[in-house]
Amino acid sequence: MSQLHTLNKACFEHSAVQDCLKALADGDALILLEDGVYLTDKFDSALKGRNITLHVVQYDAAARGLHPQNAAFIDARQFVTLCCEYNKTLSWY
Amino acid sequence: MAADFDKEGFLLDLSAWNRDIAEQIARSEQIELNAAHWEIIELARRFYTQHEHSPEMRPLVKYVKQELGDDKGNSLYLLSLFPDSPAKRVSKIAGLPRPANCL
Amino acid sequence: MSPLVPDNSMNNTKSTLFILRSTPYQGHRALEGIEAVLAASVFEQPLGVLFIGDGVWQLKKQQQAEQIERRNLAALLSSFPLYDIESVYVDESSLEGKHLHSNDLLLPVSTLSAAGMAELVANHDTVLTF
Repeated sequence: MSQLHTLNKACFEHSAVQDCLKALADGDALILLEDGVYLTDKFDSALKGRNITLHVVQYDAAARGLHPQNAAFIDARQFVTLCCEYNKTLSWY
Repeated sequence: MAADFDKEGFLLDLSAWNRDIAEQIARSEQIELNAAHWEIIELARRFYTQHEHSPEMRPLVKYVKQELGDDKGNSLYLLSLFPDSPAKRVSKIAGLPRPANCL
Repeated sequence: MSPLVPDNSMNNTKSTLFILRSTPYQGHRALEGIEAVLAASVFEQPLGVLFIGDGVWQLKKQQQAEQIERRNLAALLSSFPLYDIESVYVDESSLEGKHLHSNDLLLPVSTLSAAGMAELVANHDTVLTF
């Protein structure tokens, strides 16, 4: 069963980020929101070769002056849609 | 002019500001606005748009100096146009919030 | 480049160093820090600002805070030169860790090593962190 994870922390060494990384399974999806968007590039590398979809909340990235290349941006409506598509949503904070 | 002000005469709804309201506020401050006043008012509004807060005296003087030169970028010139507390008066007339650190 | 030693040439001056280490839009700590810096500048005492860790994100150009209905901290920071706040420092390893360069930042800064930061802290009478 695929899970949806959300992460809102900026520091890669933060326990929320490390715990999330351990909990991510193939087939899962991860949404970076709020300060989590600062980790877009780091997660791109960390998830290479794994079957995990990475989504980035666009308005949170824009607010912070970030324009990561090749990011799979989502808006508010797509965020809600994703939450409905998955069985469970795990919020890591 | 149905605009609302706080106890000190600062505009409550900043989007309600226009030149007529500025004249109205200036009159209540016993100031007759001329081109020199408007030059400073417009600069203060530009400062607010750029920096998202009302200029206090020092940054206002420096900003005026930057934009209009030394003749106008000094406290005496601003005091001559807006007596007593120029930064507070300019912000009030320009329809901006009260500067944070004005005494 | 600004000196690491504040100008205490006048007697009875007290120098303050502000260390800003919060991201701009998580809670209000970053805004509190910037407001404290601007308020302190009124007293015309020597003042330094050090951005470290997540705090360096406050200096990132092109912030569109209206997208999350928050006050734009970049707009506030850009007014520092008008307050004569010129001693602005950044921890160089924090920049490197985030793949940021000086030209990504909205203010001119002096980058410091760990030793430089220790010297900066030692040279100020008061240090406040936000």
